[in-house]
Amino acid sequence: MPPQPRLGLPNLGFGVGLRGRFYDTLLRDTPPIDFFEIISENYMDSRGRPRHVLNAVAERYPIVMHGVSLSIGSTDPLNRDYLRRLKTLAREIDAVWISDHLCWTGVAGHNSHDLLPLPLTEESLRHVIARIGQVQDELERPLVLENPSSYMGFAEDSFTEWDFLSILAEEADCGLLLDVNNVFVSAYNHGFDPCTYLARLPTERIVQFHLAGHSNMGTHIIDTHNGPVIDEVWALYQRIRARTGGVATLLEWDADIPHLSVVHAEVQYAQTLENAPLKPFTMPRAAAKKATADVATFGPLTTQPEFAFHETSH
Amino acid sequence: MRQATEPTSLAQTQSWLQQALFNPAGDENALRQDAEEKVTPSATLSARQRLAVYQHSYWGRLLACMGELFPGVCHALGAAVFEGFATEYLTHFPSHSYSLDHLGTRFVTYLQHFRPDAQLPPDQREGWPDFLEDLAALELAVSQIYDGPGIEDQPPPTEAQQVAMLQGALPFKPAPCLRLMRFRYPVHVYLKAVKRGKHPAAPQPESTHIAVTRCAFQVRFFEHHPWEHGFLEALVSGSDLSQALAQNSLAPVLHAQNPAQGWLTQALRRAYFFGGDMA
Repeated sequence: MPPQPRLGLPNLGFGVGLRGRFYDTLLRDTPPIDFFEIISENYMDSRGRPRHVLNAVAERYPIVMHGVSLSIGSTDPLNRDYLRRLKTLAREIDAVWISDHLCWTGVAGHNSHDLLPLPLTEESLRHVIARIGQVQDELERPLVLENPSSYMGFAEDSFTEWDFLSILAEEADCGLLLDVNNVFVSAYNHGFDPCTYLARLPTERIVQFHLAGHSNMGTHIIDTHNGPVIDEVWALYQRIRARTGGVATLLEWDADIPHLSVVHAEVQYAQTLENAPLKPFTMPRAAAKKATADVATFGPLTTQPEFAFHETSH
Repeated sequence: MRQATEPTSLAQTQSWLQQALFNPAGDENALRQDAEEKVTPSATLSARQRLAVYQHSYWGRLLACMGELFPGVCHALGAAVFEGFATEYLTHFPSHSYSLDHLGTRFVTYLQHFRPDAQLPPDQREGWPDFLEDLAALELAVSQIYDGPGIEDQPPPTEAQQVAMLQGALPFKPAPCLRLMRFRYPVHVYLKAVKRGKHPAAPQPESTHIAVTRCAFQVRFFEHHPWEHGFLEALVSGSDLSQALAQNSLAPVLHAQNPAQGWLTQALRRAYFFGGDMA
């Protein structure tokens, strides 16, 4: 039997990622934002101001949890202590769902704090499906997994990312968090057609959308979450959203974060696209000339994708 | 399914990529050869360049986090030298935690063990590593206190409880956010200046005693006279008021100049102690 749309989870509307920059505003005001998403690891152990603010926000808004350290694809054993803490936080703030990324973050007990790519092989597929089952048993709820942005592929890859995700979602019976910006970023970096990617996904399993800005380096794009969403990503969002019939949409802004009102206005734009004519979409190509620079000139990057970090004050 | 090269095991691939991230300055020829074997090139980047995106992302993110955790040490050393220290630290102590908040937990240990004069007797050592160690210890305490347990949701002790505390009938319960710290340099003054956007010079050595604690979710520093610090340390270690006074020969000055009730009111206002039971 096909699953219910969004696995039966609600369409929460249009939300914003909860970041330290917004704490003062949210303790003072209640802006009309539909929901907030937290980086789970920033609050799992917090007994200070971040948790104080989260508790206050959770009393007024639905909260969804988005993790960066589950490491579902790692060949290390699952971290059971981490899962228990995740589950406890979800219960305490009444989280509507829990998501993380299709990636791995480290092996041999290490954490790179990066969303590292998995080889898209049968072995990886079976490995991740089995681990999703264990995680869902521990959390006693469906896991929602996000497509990461990626900057390299493996010679041994035997699946496209969209086929890998589709099979995984069906067989593991989990939800998908479709990051439309990540589809665009990866399409640019790997040279695939993002429309094909979107067309092949099981839309009934999409529980949430992510939107974000990125940094185009010419030869490749880095998923930096440091600015407004570009037109091409809006155009892709319009196309996939129409096929889902409406799914919670969240804007991530993690670097050079402006005032909450600016971030809110950006995600409200998504709402205005609901009944608007489709924006034209043309996939730009990576700079035609092959980069000749030595690897040393690639960084270090000054922009940091995805991971929010607590600010301290005294 | 697409045609692919002979698969290696997932565990082998992950181990290789992690090593490549952690040791980007390893054998470049081997790294390039491995990358060309395992990673596909794009239309614009070679396999080695694509691997480099991840290497730079890994180091860029963690070094930025170290800079946020230790802004004072970063200011004292300058960004480039700090990056060198942080890189060496992360090479020796890569993260094992699910949270970036724990990234700097062993930075003070690293500074202590890897200071250039670590093998010399203490009286022959240079001063600047002491300053860096003290500053890093304070910054680590600040970040741990900021997000650790506090007493914001605890009711203040009643008047009757305060009288009982002063009479020794109730123990002084130290707030879980309280740290009594002794430094060789006035690093709290330096750190405050850095956080206010100033550019302080490294201070001269000066024995410094401070309490770091948290009031209304704000981390605060309070400087003490040495005898007051010793008195507080005695209370925190479980002594009652009369024992703490007896253990500190100068503490009677406190008693005479600042009546006990007034002192306790101040200590409670500064969130040194609390009255209830922590859950």
